[in-house]
Amino acid sequence: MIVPMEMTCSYAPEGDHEDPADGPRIFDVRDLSVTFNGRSVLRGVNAMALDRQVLAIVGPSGSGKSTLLRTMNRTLELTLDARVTSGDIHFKGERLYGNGTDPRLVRKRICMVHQKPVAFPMSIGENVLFGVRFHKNWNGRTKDEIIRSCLDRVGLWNEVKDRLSDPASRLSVGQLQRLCIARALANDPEAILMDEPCSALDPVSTARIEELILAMKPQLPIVIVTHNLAQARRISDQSLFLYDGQSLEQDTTERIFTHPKNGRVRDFITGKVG
Amino acid sequence: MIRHFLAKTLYWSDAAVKKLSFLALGTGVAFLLLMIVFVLRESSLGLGFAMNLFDFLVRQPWAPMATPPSHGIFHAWISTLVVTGLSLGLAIPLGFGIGLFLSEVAPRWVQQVMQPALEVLAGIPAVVYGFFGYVTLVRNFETWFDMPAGECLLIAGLILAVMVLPFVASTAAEAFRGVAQDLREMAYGLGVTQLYVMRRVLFRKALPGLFAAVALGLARALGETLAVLMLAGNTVAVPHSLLDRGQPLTALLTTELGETVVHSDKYQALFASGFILLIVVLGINVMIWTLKHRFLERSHA
Ligand SMILES: Nc1ncnc2c1ncn2[C@@H]1O[C@H](COP(=O)(O)OP(=O)(O)OP(=O)(O)O)[C@@H](O)[C@H]1O
Ligand SMILES: [Mg+2]
Repeated sequence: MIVPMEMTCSYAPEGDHEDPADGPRIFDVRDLSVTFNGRSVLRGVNAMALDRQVLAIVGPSGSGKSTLLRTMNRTLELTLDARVTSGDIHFKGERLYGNGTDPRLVRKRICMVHQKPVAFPMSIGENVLFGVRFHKNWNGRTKDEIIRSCLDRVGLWNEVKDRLSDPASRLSVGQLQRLCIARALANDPEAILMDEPCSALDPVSTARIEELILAMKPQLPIVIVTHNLAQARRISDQSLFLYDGQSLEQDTTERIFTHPKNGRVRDFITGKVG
Repeated sequence: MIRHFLAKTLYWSDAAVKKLSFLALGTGVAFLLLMIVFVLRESSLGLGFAMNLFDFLVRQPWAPMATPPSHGIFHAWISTLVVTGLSLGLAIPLGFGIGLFLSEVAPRWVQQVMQPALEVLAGIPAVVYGFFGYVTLVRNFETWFDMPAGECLLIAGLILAVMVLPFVASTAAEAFRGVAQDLREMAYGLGVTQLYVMRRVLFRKALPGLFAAVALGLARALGETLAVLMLAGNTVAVPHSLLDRGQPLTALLTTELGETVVHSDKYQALFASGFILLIVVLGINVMIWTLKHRFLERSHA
């Protein structure tokens, strides 16, 4: 197959870091291909995320951003028709698609925050404890301590501390999204994936989530899919541009947004195509 | 002008829909009330009914030929209770299990085969189930348990369970399937097992539908006549064990009503039994309804 110059990925999958100041790679996506019902959706995607950094995945609708994100904690296979046909993802050097890998353990360690927050049918407090009650990662903390610390981290504690036993479905959408993040944090994850976490939220709630992302960054690598280029610029350190199932370019956010190498990336960023 | 006209039409159709739905509701309720009133009147319960309620329900035997005749229905409602309880006790857990399996675990082709299969099973006439029970169980019970005639409450309950099962299973499967996919994905996304998601999320979310499944199964089991008539033995005697013969209320009514003089004591007793069946069905539905709301409150669904 003849690949036009601009369709090749500028990010080199093997060893040599472009920027020696970068830390170790937490996620290393190598030549990943995914099909839905035999239809190819991701084609040889390469990407990486660095420790204590935010990676933003941007690109047109339908380019495979959500699909890529869902491969990164093995929730893609919850969709019956989806198959990873080639490639692998290394997380802290471990293969996510290796033979002995338990997808449940992957999901415990790498949590996902979805576009539309949904409450589990239980109280606010029990929502936070949902994963803990299964994984038993109490680590000597009581349930009240876990609820409090997780809700504190997402800035929800003061708003809900008097109604922890109320049904979570009574929260506003913005509060619910923060509850979903608290629910993920209670798992003690080693990375967080977010799929357009702010697209259902108003500007104030959006700003709160962005603050939260920046506050979590020193402890956790974060990968976020966003349609909002301004948001990607505000919060991310690295940006990956996906187009039609291919990774066209990855670089520091600064460089991607000021000097994109790829013509399509340039068009997208300057708003010529969308 | 046009805008004004448009607004009027919209408003008019809204009002019509509202009125029609009230009409439909009113008709339904009116039929129910009429039925109760009619059955009550024919039974003359409360006015000139020949027995007191305790005699009728508990103390007196059903002996219309005796002198003096007596028309107690203790044996019948006990039989109904046993047969219905047995069938639902089996069909509900099994049906929920099948529903859960179909909606959550089964590969797609199994779902595609099972769903229509359940509908076919639900549509098979009761006589066929009666014959089936007769051929498979009644004959064998005669040899296994050394019974002169194999019909008994146990067989009626078992076959009734088989009859109710497709209703419970497909309604339950529908209820589980109705739980939003993104909720499932979020729950699994936290790295927990399928069993944990079922227990903590799916069951609670599907609860209203599961209650509907129970109500449906119950109505079907209580009202089923032909199969229990064929399999329970249709004998006027108070059953003492599951292997005894019995005569559920519906069987009593069908057996006796044809040869009864209108407005006789026996006629009144039969309508009174019908009335009791009706009240039980209504009462249980109300109970299920309250339970459902109680549960929903508690589970925060
Ligand atoms: N469950 C599915 N079954 C079949 N095809 C799917 C499924 N989910 C996604 N796809 C297809 O995969 C491709 C990529 O979808 P994906 O959701 O990853 O895009 P996206 O970049 O996240 O888009 P958006 O920005 O609109 O969220 C699309 O062509 C989509 O139609
Ligand atoms: Mg998406």
